[in-house]
Amino acid sequence: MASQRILGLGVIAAILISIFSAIYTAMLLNEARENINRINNNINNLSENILRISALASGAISSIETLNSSIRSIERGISSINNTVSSLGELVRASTEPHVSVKYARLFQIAYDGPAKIVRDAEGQKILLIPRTLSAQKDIVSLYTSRYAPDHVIYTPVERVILMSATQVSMILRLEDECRVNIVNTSILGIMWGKQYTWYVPKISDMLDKGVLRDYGPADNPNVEMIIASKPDLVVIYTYAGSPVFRTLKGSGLPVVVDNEYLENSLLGRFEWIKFLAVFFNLDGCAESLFARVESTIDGLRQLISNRAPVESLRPVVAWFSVFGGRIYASSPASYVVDAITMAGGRYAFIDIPYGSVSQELVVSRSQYIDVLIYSTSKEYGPKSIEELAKALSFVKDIKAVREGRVYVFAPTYWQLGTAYPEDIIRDLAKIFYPDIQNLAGWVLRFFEKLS
Amino acid sequence: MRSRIPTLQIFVTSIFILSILFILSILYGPVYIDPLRILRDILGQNSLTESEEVIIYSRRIPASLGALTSGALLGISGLLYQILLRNPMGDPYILGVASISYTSLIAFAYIAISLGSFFYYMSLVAPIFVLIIALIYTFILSIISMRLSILQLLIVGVSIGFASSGASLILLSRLPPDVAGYLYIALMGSFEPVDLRAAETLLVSLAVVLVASLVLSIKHLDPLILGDDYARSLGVNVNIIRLLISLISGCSAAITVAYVGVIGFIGFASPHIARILTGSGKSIIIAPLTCIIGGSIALLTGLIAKTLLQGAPLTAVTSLFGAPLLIYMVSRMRGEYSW
Repeated sequence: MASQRILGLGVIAAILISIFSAIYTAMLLNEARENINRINNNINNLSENILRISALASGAISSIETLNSSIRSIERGISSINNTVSSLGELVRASTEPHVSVKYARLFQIAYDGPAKIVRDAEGQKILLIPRTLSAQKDIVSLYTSRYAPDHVIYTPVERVILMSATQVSMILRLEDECRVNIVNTSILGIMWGKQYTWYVPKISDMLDKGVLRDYGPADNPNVEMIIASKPDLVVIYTYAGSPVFRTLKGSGLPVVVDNEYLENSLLGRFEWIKFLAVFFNLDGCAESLFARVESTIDGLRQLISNRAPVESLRPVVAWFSVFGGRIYASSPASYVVDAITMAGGRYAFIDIPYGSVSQELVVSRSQYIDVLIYSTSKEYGPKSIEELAKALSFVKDIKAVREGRVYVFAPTYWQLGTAYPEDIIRDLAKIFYPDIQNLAGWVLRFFEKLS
Repeated sequence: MRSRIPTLQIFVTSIFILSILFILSILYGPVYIDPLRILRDILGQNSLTESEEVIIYSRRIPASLGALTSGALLGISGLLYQILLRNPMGDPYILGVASISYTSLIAFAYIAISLGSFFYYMSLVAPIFVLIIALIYTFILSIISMRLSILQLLIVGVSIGFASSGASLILLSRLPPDVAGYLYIALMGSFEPVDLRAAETLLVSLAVVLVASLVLSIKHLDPLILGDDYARSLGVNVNIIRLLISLISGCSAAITVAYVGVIGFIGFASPHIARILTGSGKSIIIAPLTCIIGGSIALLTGLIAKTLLQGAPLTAVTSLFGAPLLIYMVSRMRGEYSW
């Protein structure tokens, strides 16, 4: 009975506890629901705020973009102003920079029009040179191109140059020395060499060996694909009758210009092509002053020689030829050789023979009058001694110059450097013709060697 | 076809013309010397200056002899090749002697450069080297000719010529441009390099070749033109005769190339001119007449080249002047020309 009572009380207590727990739980749940609702409301509020903030951010971003666009416009404006200032600067520079004038060379011309240069090369091409700083000024560029209709437009100074001949290289080297600039290391990509000859300029030989200067193949058959792949902004070549190289390179769209200094018939005319090359590097003034100095030096030498031998009869008679296969290769009277001989105070032995068509008979008939013989090869392909010369070519042994031992050949550097140093050629020849001339007493022959 | 002019008259006239041209070649050259003084000096009257004597005796006489003998050698070589190959287009260079000579000259240039004495070797040794190579080639080709048919021999010779020309171009392309340029025209024919020694060699060669050709022409050459079988039926040892003809014609061509370079047209045209003049195809008549005509053409073109067209390659002059002459002669013929 007691246990049942207790059990009964326990059940009632449990029921009461359960009721209270349920009520409390309901109260808690309700509170939780209210809290969740409150949180949801807060989240909604937060979402709305986030959306508001996003909208504000988008607006800000849009504003920033607009601001950036404005800034860019301002930058463009500033750039344009800078370009205009550069253009003005270039115009000022162009108006004050010494211009190149062409006095002796017949095969090229240079004209100036404001900052632009208009060059006519040996194949008659018209090349428009525009300063690189103006290359972005499309209106200026199109103004000049429409005015001159050039074959090529080249921006100067050029930066990626391929050369064909050793004489062009020597001219560039002389410009480097004179103008104290670095051209070969910075702007010359390579040379059309093809290992066809030995280089006697150590700097170039070394650079070719190390691959610093690329070898684009022989001049008569260069590697056109390699040239195209190098993307040069200037290719300088020489041409001759029947050569397909010019057509091939020009047809490939390359900026090719023709330097035929070897066709000039005066010594200074050949050297004047240094100005042609200089204008592509904006070294006009430097080349002009160099040329003027060399011209003045040669004038001085001519005066010296004129004092030494005032009348023609005192001037030595000079023969200048080489022989191959029995055929004599003598200089034409209208060649730079005869010009050089005359400037150095000599008389060319075959001045009356057109085109240099000299026969062995003619040489024999004038043997006793020829005071100096210049055999026009180097020892590499020519005689090493007078004895060898006389043995190989029996018709020369009676030449007065051969009997008296006044026979000279080219030094190995003649062909590669001679064109760029005409004043030294004149010094050499003057020394050969007048060994006793006092002002050249200490001068050592640079481009000729005496045969023993 | 038969000429109305007696053969003896043709011979006498040809020899007379040859003699006149030889004398003119001595009297006239790039430098004018009074012809009468030259003649007086030759006859012993000492009327020339020292340098004029050098010109006449050391230059013009050897060069004129060189022209005469090389023209004759080219003529006989062309004639023998036309008989050997039974081909009227035959000339001394048809089987590649000129190409081989040219290639050997260029190859020798490399040897001379590597020996460090280009000038010496090219001036003094190159002609001998070229001659040796050309003779070796001729000898080999002659041995081969005994075993090949005519067509096979022609194809082999022409093909070798093409191959060596190709080799020449490759070798030339690797030389410095100025050296390559000189070599390109070095073999283009000139009598100027012929000195006394070279003239003697050419003269002796001509004598040997002419005698050999005359001996062969007595009974061996003419049957060969009509076919191998016909020649054998007449007792001709075809193989040996082919060998001998090949040797003689090849050596003649090789010697002239070595000393005076390549001179076109003379070897091709001289036999035809001889046949047209005489109306005969008999080798015993044609062979010596070909020599005379070849020598005359060489002297005449040499005279024109050294007086009027100085510097022009001789082969250009012979072709320019010889071709119209041959065309004129052929066009004036009556009836069909059967060589």
